[in-house]
Amino acid sequence: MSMNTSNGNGASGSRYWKSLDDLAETPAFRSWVEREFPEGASLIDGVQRRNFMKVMAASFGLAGFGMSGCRRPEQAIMPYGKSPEEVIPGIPNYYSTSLPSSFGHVPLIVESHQSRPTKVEGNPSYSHSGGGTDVHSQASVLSLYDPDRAQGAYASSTSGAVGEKVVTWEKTTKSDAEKILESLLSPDRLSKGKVAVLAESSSSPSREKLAAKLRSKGIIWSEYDPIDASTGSKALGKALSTNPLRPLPRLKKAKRILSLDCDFLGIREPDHLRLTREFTKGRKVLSAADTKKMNRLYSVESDLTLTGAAADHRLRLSSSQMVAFASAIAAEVLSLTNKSSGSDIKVLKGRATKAGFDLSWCKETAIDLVAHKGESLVIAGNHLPDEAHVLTYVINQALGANGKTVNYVELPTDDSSNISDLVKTIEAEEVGTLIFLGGNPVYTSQWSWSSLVKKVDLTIRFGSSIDETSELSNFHIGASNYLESWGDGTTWDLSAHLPVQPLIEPLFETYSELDFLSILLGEKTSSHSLVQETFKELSDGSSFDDFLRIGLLPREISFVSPVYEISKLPEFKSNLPASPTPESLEVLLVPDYHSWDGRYANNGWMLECPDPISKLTWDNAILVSPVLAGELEQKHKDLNLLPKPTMLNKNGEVAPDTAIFALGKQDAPVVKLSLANGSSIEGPLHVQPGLADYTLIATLGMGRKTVGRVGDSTGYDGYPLLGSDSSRIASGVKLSTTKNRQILANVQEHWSMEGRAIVREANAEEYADKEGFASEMGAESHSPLVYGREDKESLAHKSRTTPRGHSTYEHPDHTYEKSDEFGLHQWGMSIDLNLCTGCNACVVACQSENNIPVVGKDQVLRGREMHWIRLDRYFSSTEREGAEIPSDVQVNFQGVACMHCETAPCEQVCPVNATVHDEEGLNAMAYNRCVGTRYCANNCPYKVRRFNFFDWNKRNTDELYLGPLGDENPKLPNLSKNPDVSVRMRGVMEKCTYCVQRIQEAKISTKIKAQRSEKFATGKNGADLEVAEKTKVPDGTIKTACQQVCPADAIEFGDISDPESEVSKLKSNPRDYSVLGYLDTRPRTTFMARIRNPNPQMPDWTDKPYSSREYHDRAHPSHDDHGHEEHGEHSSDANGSSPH
Amino acid sequence: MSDSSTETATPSPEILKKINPAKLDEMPLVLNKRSLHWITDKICGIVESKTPSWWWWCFIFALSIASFTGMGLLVLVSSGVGEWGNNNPVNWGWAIVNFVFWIGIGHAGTLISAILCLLKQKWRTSINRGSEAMTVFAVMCAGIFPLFHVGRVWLAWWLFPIPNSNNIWPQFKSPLEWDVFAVSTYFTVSILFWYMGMIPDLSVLRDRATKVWRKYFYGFLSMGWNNSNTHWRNFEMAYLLLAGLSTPLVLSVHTIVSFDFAIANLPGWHTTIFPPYFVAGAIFSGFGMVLTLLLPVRAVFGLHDLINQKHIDNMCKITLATGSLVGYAYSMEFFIAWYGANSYEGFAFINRAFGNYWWAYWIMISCNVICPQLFWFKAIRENTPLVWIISIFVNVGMWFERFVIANTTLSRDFLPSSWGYYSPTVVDIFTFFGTFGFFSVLFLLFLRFLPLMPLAEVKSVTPMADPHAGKH
Repeated sequence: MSMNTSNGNGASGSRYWKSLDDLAETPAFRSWVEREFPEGASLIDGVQRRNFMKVMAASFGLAGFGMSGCRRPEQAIMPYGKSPEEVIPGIPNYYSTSLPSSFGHVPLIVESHQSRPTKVEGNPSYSHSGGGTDVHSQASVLSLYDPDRAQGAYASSTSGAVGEKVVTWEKTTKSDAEKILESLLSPDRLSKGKVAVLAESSSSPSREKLAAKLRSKGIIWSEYDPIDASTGSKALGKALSTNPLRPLPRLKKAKRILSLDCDFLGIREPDHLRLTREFTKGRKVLSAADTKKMNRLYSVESDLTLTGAAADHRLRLSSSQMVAFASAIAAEVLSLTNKSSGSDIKVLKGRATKAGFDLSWCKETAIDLVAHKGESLVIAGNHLPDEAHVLTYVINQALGANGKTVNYVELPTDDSSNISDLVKTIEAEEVGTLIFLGGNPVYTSQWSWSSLVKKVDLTIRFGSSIDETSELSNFHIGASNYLESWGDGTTWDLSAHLPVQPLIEPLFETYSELDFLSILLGEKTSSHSLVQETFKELSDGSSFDDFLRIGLLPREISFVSPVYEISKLPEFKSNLPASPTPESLEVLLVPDYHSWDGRYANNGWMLECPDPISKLTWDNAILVSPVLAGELEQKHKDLNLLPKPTMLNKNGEVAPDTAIFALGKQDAPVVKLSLANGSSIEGPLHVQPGLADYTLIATLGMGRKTVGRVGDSTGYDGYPLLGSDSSRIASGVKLSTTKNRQILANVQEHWSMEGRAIVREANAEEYADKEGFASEMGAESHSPLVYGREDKESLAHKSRTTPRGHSTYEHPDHTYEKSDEFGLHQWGMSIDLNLCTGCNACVVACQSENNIPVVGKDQVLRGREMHWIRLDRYFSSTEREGAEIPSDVQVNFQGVACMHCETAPCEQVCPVNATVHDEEGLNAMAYNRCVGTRYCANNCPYKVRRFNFFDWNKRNTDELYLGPLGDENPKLPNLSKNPDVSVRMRGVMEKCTYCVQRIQEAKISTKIKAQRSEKFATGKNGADLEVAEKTKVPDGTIKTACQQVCPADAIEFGDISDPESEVSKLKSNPRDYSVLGYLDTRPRTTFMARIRNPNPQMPDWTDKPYSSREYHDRAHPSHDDHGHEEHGEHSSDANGSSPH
Repeated sequence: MSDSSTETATPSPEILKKINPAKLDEMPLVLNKRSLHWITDKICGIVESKTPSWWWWCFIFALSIASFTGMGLLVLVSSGVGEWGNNNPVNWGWAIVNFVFWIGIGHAGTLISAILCLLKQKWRTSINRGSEAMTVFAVMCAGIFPLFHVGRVWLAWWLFPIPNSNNIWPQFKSPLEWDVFAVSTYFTVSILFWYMGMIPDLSVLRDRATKVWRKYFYGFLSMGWNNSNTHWRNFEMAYLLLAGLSTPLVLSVHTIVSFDFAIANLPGWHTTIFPPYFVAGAIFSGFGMVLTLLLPVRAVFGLHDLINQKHIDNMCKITLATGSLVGYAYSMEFFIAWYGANSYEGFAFINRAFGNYWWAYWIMISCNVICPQLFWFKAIRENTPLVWIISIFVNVGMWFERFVIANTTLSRDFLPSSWGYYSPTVVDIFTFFGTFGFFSVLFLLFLRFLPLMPLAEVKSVTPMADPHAGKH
């Protein structure tokens, strides 16, 4: 608009002018105004050839100079042509489904972004797991995007000499595959022999119906699971003359628990999610009074398991001696409860004496169990022989546990034949067509399948990837992932019927198991309708939609507890196996942590997730006890198994590592374990404290031959030692050394806390006396108070101010630079070390939520793993004799992620402001700003920052060192990425963000909700409302990924400026402490000290947990004997003193 | 070490006659009563003579070694920092070790040219040009490492405070940011000081030049110097000012480099002793390097009259003094770690001596603390080959000192769960090894094209520079 318009009729209104030129209306001014862009006008008008050429030449020159030819790669996004229903771009959808497993289905809620399943969560409707999940469910989403999956149906052709057989696969069309399937039951084929199906077990009622139909057509249906969880129920069924009887422990009601080689908190036993939850509920201690309600766990085990780590008392005992131990306990319990005649007890006792364990340990345990009659319980591991299960039943019966702390469900009779019957039929050449339905029996079972399949005319393999079993088959038909298929199943405790609901159309031409069987039957009923049908039969008229919405259908189950006649006990008089000796060792086979029975062997998340106890990634090892390791070293001087004494560990300054670390890499000798029948395995040895002296632990599921590119050449195969009856305890094993050595990728070199107050713990008694014991440990108990005079202030106050502590200097004001005051919320986290079982689910959950890359074994060996949260595992012991590795240890786990320090050391040292604090107390990381000096990671006392040393997301892990010449990663796993989290490039630092994407999402939705209700209430326009700015996110709305997955509820997250929030309450608990608090970093993540609940009558009782003893011995060596009171006084003096 | 000629010019106080002090037999700074003309011929002759064939061999050899750095950096930038051995607890590794090592070497040059100038130490004249050149080249080598150690080197310019539309500035609280300023200032001042001091000598080369390109080349570089009194007066003033300006830099640069460690909160790093201890170490290593460089130069060019035993003696003594300072600092660190009663700190030091890098620690102690003690003996100071060998040990020791500081602390800090181990890769070794080639290339070029010593200054310390020479 021009100011000149009013000129001339100056009669009315005021006149404004821009300048004196304007007022004078000089021609120069006129022309200046008339041009649209006064400043640059000369460049535009009057284009002259010479000027044009000059400008263009300069532009070209600059263009070349600035290397603008190197552009970022263009990335196309495909918009929806037609928007699908329910999908709003940017807003994820959630669907219920469940993960099929031979340990029962796991109820899940799966997050889907634009139809891509990205993240798995537990279904909170299933109250037994409360929304928690296990590590394998978390990793299962990556299996969907496994680029090595079978992408359809294939026909095999074999070529090459006998020794170097090469199987090549040719993809067939879907219709061809269907034709083959339909023809299998044709009379033509049946003339060549029976049709047999070898399936892995399943809890799906729909599949059972189809199987029944197949059986009725004369098809042999057999089931096989390498990790057989039914031995216990079968043994009880036999002993009590009923159908198989499945025990369902009710740990919530149990005050005293004795576990017989049963890792019910780990992944080896079915129902571990529910059991973890129930067990940890009994460990929740918030005040001294709660210690009385706390449960107590006794664990007798040969391997050091998560259960042993959680135990208050732990006895190392070979698995073969468990029956003897159970007999001893039974004898004690029966005599204490007067349930049996003296002669029976004598027989039982007689069997126990040979085993050579501490009988007083056994006796005191029995006394404690009996003292809590009706509230105590014994659990036996599934791999134990039948007798152990029956004795357990008898003990529970005598303890009054049956029906109270443990329920029994009678299972329906199993109509399927077992694998050995099937093998006999095949050997009789009666089988014409063999169908391998799922599983991987050629790898997991010990029959000579290569000769067996020759006796079969046609073998069809239905499986998710081409594996060892496919190699022997004529056809491979690809199985859909559970996230692509319809199905159903039941939880292990049988309390819920669960749907398996697809979230995505099959990515490839694959079939769901139900579809496959249905086509085989020639019915072609879709799996969807099969599932609906089954649901209709099971439900009383409720809607299928509701079933999917809730994700489960509760089922009534009736429990039984038949009485076992104790007089029958002496029937078990058979010889007990002798204790293993150095010449005749025992091997316990356990499912591998990474790959379970082998099914996750191509899953990068699982392979890189450290074993919770040994901390090994990418490989499995043969675990050996320190005693046996010592003896082996004596015998084989060049074994180099135990670390040599050094100046540091000889003086007791540093405990030795459990392995030889050469240049930071674990260098393990490879040994051969052989059975009398000639089968043998070869694997690297790893010394593991806590093992029974002469029991070795080998794992099943690694070392697969035909697996994808991820699992290729990882670990050794332990299956050759598996008994044909799936017995997992091998005895009479000989160990021989080989010349080979293997480098293992261990993510934690050092096992000792070195007397540092990192994990703080006390016995229940001490805690009852002094609830604040945790704050009297560590350097901060001697240093001036971190918060100075403001220490007595509330947490909410402290989180919103910047207290100076005792500093003489002006403390920098940590109010965020741009805002006048602190944010609305102040985020904080509390991790309860008493509840954490160390299951690692949080590690993989975080990986899935935050797009954390897999780096591969080589890079883990170089110390470059990327996990944002890690579980530190510490052993502590009473034996501290310099360079010796202890046998009896206590285990502690500590989840460590970014602590979001209020005075973060990382922020002060970043030269480019890439890591900064936000007004809500988050230590934020601006990836775009990071240049990668790595100073922040150096200065982080908790070492939680992770650096992208290479382009992990872009480059193939094998070819990282080739840079741009290397191959790019397969694209398929990119679909698993969470679009709410940036994918980081090479050269930038990353770390835990407290799941800032979840915080933002919750803040936005809270804001919208507040605005909406305010609009309704006031009728005002949204823009006028201030309510949204002031409305806090309700406590409990935000769950970080690690918190959400935790079945033990060990992690709490929330607003610490709200004194009523759950996390504030926990942080105000006297058990709360900061790791390395004396550094005054004021971490927002604090820990709740651990409480152990040992029995003072037990022979292995100590007044303090081992780690606390070590801490006190080292911190106060001089006044050791009168130390404690004095220490307390000292620190209270420091606490109460005014600033000097 | 005062100047005897000026003293004799003044009338002696009465007291001297009474006590009759023994005459100190001071060694002249230029031997054999060399004439002024001889000095000019000697120094200019190095540049003007035909390029000796050994120079070419050395140059090609150095260039090929320098290419190792080039290759190392090419690999590094094209694929990622992972090419180096750095890992999670040890995020810095060799890169920062090498940076501190090279920066430290630079210090002797500045000390010799600035501080010794202000203190009127005349013996500095014949070694100052060479050590200034060493400083400049060492800083150039040093600069490579912090630049390329960053994950995204193409964005390293974000460390400079460049005004931008996002209004994002560097973080001035970070010691790395201070490094940027400290090192760039240091480099600028050093190069100015070096170049300015050379101007009169360049004009000599210009005036003596017989070839046209030399006339232009040196003519351009000598900026119209005509030896006028005004020029000299301004020169002297500017030289003094720059010396004054550089003096605090000798202390500040390595102090700030030490802040990279001392500001961090890690046990073994977070100590107040670091600034003086780093400066002492830097001067120590710098003198070591000056000896390493100038002893062969002296032998090759026959400069024994200009760099004589007195110079070597003085340098050896400074090495001994600073080496003892460093040794004192090592022991004081241990004392404070014990006295401070912080268990993390205590462990850090015991771990240094007996932990996973014990060998590096003991290499450091033997090279830095034990080796220079040999300089107490005159016989050793006079044994030039031995001095040269010890000077190499000093350099090795000082590299290990940085290695020990950077790596023992990082590899075992607060939480034992994250303890790790660092070892370098081939790329690390290549990159570092190549910097010696790069340094040699630059130094050979310097020897070939620039005057090795300040002619006027050297002449001023010859006996005939004294108007009363021989007349007392």
